[in-house]
Amino acid sequence: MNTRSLLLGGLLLLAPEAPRFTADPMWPRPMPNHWILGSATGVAVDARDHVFVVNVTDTFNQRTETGLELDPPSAECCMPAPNVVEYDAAGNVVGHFGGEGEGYDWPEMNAGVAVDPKGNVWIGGQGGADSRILKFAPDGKFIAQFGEGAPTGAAAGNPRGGDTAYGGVSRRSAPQLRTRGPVRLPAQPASSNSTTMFGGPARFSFDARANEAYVADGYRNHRVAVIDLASGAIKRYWGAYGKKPDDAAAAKYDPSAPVPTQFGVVRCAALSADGYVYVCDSNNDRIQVFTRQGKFVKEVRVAPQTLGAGSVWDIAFSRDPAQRYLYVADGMNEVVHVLDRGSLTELTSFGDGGRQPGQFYAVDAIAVDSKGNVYTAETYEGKRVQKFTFNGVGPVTTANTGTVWPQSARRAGP
Amino acid sequence: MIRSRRLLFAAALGATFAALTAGQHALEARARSHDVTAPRFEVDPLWPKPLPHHWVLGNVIGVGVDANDHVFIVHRNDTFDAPTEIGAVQNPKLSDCCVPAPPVLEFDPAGNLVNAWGGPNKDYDWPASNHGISIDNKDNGDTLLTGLIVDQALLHGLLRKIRDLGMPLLSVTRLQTPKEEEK
Repeated sequence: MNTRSLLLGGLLLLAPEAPRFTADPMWPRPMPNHWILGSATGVAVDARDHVFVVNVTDTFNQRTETGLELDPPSAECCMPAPNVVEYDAAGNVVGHFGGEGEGYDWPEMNAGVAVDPKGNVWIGGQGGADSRILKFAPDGKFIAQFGEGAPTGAAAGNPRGGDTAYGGVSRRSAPQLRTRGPVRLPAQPASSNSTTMFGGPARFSFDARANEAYVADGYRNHRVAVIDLASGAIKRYWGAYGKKPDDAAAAKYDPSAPVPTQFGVVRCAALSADGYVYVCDSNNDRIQVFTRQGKFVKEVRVAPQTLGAGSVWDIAFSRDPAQRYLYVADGMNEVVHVLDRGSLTELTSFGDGGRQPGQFYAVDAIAVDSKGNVYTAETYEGKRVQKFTFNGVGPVTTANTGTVWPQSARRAGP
Repeated sequence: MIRSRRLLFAAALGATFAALTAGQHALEARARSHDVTAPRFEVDPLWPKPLPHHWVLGNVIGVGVDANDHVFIVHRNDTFDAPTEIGAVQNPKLSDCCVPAPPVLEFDPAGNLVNAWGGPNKDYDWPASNHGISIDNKDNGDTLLTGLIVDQALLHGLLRKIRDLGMPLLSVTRLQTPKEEEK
């Protein structure tokens, strides 16, 4: 063995091992009907490896993006896709639903999506007055809505309620937006100690044995709520460090200040197979870990210099039985952080900002299929879903691997 | 500065559109009869290669290829949403990504970035909007076009376009650029 291979061997030994991925630029396949996705806020994979994507269908500039829906049409393209699009593993559109229907109120702005142990599809809401969770059969048949509706009061022409997430380019195109959802309601205050309604419920995870769902609650509220899977009744809830949540206005996140004692925007509550709840406190750049009963276990800060909407937007577990790795979608730094789940140390990250395959604009949601492949959804003007093929666990030598293309196609030179 | 009649301008555009529509129908009919051949393409999703420095593109409004098959693009690098798209150049810095790329980028045939330039400079006036021309409808029915005409070729092309549209040209006036006014 010569010096060079010794050195290389030494480096490989020192390098941590982590899951590695390659962007698949041909997944999903083109959609029919000139459909395009709006801001994609959620992605989930079911037991058949079908991928459900939710998107906000009124985030288009009708003049430049959706001319086909005008009357008369201004162009041959494009049409907003339905709010929920279902793809099979090969990337074909095999189902779709969403929007107003009998017996329920579609959210002002749909947030995350999750598939429960029975294969049903749960949808959250992040609009200023969204206080409910919707549950549908996989084919879009309405099953239940959980949580009280916000007081209707005087319906106001409040375009975005209290939500400021959609400060993207769509704000400039707001005059061209046509409201397709329900009448906009006045933005609601937080209600983190309510036992009857949610405050911008974002995402969900499930405990089939206990018949419970964990709700990231949410965009207005500052808590995790655990509900009965069938009835939707709130059984218990907690705030940061497992304490009672407090809706008093928190100071703006400051990386150099002591860590906040309350949650900011709670965007995920992901239950691991071994019974720990991983919570995305997105704008506070941290993950907090709890037992099922809400006892605080530990926390970790992720890219703590990140301002704005923060670095922790969604979490998915790797598919090995031990769920050894956490994948953290970071829509501000435009990467997916790969953490060792046991120690919560960051091993590497992949991705970069941009519109090419494997790059991100506001990566909002992340999910994993049975083969370990990763799917991401991009909100704001990202408006797409992407697949990253799992290449197994191996040495990772750099903190950020950048845009993960096949080695042969990666950037050469400076 | 070029003056012309506004009504004529609109009518001429309408006629052009009608002609294009008719042409499209004829093309489609021929395509259906399968007696035409045409160039065929497929997308290359891995061209060009990822940009360095967390650079991102704004509205890309021009592309050209030189004799060596180097591809030049020009984009408007001020069309970003600051808080969600270019957090790395905000004050304070919001995030590690992203940074507006320079307005002109040159790629080699393999998609490698080989040069990047453009933007305001002491030697010239970079267009406020890279290819913008403003159209102003005057109260007396005249239409005023104002824009930066960088060379004779562009002026010639513009005059020819106005002629083709059948718009009577009332006058052309040279304005001083802001830099000339300073001198």
